[in-house]
This record gives sequence, structure tokens and C-alpha cells, in this order.
Amino acid sequence: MPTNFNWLLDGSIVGLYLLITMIAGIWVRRYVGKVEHFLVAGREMNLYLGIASLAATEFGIVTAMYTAQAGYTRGFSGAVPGLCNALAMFLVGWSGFCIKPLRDSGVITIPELFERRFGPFVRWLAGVVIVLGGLLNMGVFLRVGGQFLVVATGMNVQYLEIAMTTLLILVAVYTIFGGMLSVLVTDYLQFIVMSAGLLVVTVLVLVKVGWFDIITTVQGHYDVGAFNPFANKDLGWSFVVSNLITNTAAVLTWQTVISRLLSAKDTATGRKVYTGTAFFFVCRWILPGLWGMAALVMVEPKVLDGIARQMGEQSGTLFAMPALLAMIVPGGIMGILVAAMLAADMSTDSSYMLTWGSVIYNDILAPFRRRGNWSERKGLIINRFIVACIGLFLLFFGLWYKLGGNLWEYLQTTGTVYLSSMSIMLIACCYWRRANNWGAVAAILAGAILPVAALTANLFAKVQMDGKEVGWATATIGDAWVNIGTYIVVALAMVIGSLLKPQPKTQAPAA
Amino acid sequence: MEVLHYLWLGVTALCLLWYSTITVYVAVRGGKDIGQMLRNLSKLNDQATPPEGDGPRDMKRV
Repeated sequence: MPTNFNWLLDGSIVGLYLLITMIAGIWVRRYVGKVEHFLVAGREMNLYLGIASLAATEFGIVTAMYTAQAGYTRGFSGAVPGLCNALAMFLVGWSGFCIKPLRDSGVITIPELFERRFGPFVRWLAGVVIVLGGLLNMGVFLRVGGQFLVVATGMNVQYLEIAMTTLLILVAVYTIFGGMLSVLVTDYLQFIVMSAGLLVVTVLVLVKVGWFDIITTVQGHYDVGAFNPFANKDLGWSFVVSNLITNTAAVLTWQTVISRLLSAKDTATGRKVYTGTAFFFVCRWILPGLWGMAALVMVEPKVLDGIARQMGEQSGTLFAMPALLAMIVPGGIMGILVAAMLAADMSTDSSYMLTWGSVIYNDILAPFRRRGNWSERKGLIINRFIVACIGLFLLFFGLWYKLGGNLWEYLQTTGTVYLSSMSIMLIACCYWRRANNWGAVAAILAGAILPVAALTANLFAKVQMDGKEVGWATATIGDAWVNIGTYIVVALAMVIGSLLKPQPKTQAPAA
Repeated sequence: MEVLHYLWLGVTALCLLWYSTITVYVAVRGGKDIGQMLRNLSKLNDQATPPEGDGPRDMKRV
């Protein structure tokens, strides 16, 4: 597909950005003296760095792709998850619900807090579930990022794997050397580049496509459902409720979000990072969503079908946004756009590798660490090795996994594997005295079994719906109801499991 | 329907305004935060002997 990407001009802008990022990321390695510096930056993160880092981490190419896809397929109603996320983030930050006791406890990861209440086995099991759910979720990031670059820059699809591998190696190098310190410093640079690119391209889209044309086109395609999620036949109440629950759970327990809270210099700063970043989650859905809606005006569906065939994917809607940008963004600004998207992707990848690595080290390896009397030096080496292993996993998973259907629904379902159990357990751990290890184990099992069963049913049992082949669970139950049902079952498992365990004699009422 | 059009126009305008403001503000204040963080870590590392050496058996709890 033709594009305005100029390899000399735009390539130089991208190359300069990558060089500065690498230098900054590797330079701060000198400040890493202990495992705590590597995992939570010595808890020295202040408010504005926290806002920059959280915003940069929570916006990758994958985010731009699925939010634009939501805009293309659902109009403004597609931005509902962003509104739910912002609301949840603001309320949790403002009230301190769960995050205050969590940060006050001084732990490095959530499972570490669980150990104090539910014992070492629950800590280990929670670590396993968090890592499994997180890595399944993260597995698609790299491929989707590479696909964006191929479509936007007009790069030959044969080079997709090479581009993905190079990008990952660059990110892995500074993350392995500097850990959370490198992540924070590069996130700061990436936040500035990413934000500049997002704003410039949004203005360009509005100028070149026009607000009125966008409104008219989405109304023509989806009628009132483009503006009102409750009137949209694909969304409705269940979608809104499901997103409210998922986003609240993510705000409470998603490892990359929580790592900012736990890296903050104190609880008040952590809470301010939440409230200060909340509205960004509206922006991260609205702005790329607008690009997706503009693609609905400008890009022919047959062009998208051609790109999907070229990429070996089932749906072309994911490529609407990069196809539009390839058409309308001129040389020079294209370099800023690609640098911005690379910035967004690198900050996300580095943070995800580090934070999931921190759970492997801190929780899954906790029994070995205690037994082996590991020194700080050994701890740092093992942490770096874990980050490298996660990078390798991402590379291979990203190369062979082909995504079918809506990207956001895939991310939500895989995320639910741990979000459901961890959020219910965290609430119970902080606020319910009767909660115990029986309930915790039951919650973890219920939270893992239901989403995995739905994913399996979708993979192996297909039914026809509106002329398309759709997974059985999606067609008969609906992704939103699977999600809501999982949270209800997990909460019941927590309560019933906890109540079934006999109370210790010391807690019995005096005769 | 027109009310909804204006609602989303307002949300989009607010996003552009808020995001451009916060980008400039965070760019300035975040740079200062990095300087402060690195200075504090430098002091902590100077106090610790030896750097990257043997530390406590388990993680430090704050």
C-alpha cells in the first residue's frame, strides 16, 4: 500500500529518537545497586514522573490499534471502556480503596501481600496466575505493533519479523540493564514523543477528514448506536457493566498499574498518580478512536480485506487506522508519528517485561530465594535473566499467534484470567476479616477456569453468526456475559470457600 | 441525536485541551522528578557498601 513515509527524512527522525532512548535507558544503569532499585526504582518515583510513566506504559501501538478498531466498528460508543477506566481510576485514587492498604503494607507485588493473609502457597499460586494471564495478554502486542509499522510505513511484510525482533531487542537491552529506573526515564521521554505525535496527528486528521464528515459517516453506518452504547446492538448494558467491572479490577490489580503505585515515594503520591492520570484513559480511547472513525470515511473496505489477506489475519478492521495514516500523513510528520508509536510500544513492552518479571522473581521464585539465601547481586542477575526470558517468549508467541475477531475482547478475556480472582482477593484481603486461604484458592481456580473454558470453546467450536464464523462462547453467551459471570462466580467462590473453612478456636466467641 | 453529537464534540475538545496542557506540564515537572530521583538513589548507593554487593536475604520492606 502506498505511503508518505520517507526513509531518509522520517527514518532519520525515528533513528534519532531510538538513539536518544537507548542512551538514556542504558545510562541510568549506574544507579541500580539493589533488587529494590531494579524492581521499584528504590521507591523514589515522584508524582509527575509517575503520571508520565503510567500514561506511556498504558498506551502502546496495540492500544492505538484496538481503540481505533473500536472507533471504526462502533463509532464513539467504542470509547466506553476508556470512560469506565477513567472513572474507576479517579474513584480508586481519590478514595484510596484497596490501594492505600496495599501501598502502606510496603510490599513489592500483590501476591506478597496475599502471603501475609493467606499464606505462602496462595502467594505462589497467585504469582503463577498473574504471570500466565499477563503473558497471554501481552503475547499479541509485538505482532500487532509490527503490523502497524508495515502498513503505515509501507515496509515489506517479509520484514515484519525482523522489525519486531529488532524492536524487542532494543527494549530488552535497556530493561535488562536498568530495570524500573530505565523504564521510568525512557517512559518520560516516550511520553513526550508519544503525546506530541498523538496530538499532531489528531489535529491533522480533523483538518484533512473533517469533524462533520466523521459524524455523518459513523451515523450512516451505526445510526444512534455510534453515539449511545446502550442503543448499539453489539454493545448494550452488558458491555458497559462488563467494562466497568474489568476496568475497576485492572485499576486495582493490573501489574503495570500497581507497579507505579508501589514505586511511588509514598501512598499519597501513588494516589495522586491515579487521580492525575485518570483522564488520560479517556484520551487514549477517544483520539485513536477518532482516527478509526476517520478511516471509515476515507478507506475502502476492500483495501482492508487486501491488507488482512497479506497479513494472514481474518479481520481487516484492525488495519483501518494505519491504512488511513499512510494515506493522509505527509513526510516529516510521518517520522514523528512512527517515532511516537515506537515510543508508545517500547514503553509498554519494557514495563510489561519488567513488571511480570518482578512477579516471577518476587513470588514464584520466593520459596527458592529464601532457601538459597540469594545475595543482591545474584538477585539482580536472576531478574535480568527473567526479563530476557520473557522477551524470548514474546518473540516466539508473537510470531505464531494469529488473532481472530476483536482485539479488545481478546485482551479482556485473557486479562480476566487473573483480574477477576486477584481483584476479589485483594478486596477480601483488605476489608473482609473472614477471608482465608480456602476462599483464596477457590477464587483463583474459578477465575482461571471460566475464561480459559470460554477461550477454548471459542477456539475449537465455531458457529455461523451474521454470515461469519464466530466462537461458540461469543455467539451463545457473549463475551461481556462471560466476563461478568466470571467475577460473580469468583466472588461466590471466595465467600463460600472462606466460610467453609473451620474458624480457629481463638476467634470463637467467649462462652 | 444532535445532543449526542455535541456531547462527543465536547469530550473530544476536552481531550485535546487537557492532553496538550498536561503534556507540557508533565514534561517540565517530570524532568525535575527524574533529577531528584537520581540524586536520591545516588546518595543511597553511596551509603550502601559495597554497591551491587551482598544485601539482606529477603526484600527490604518499607
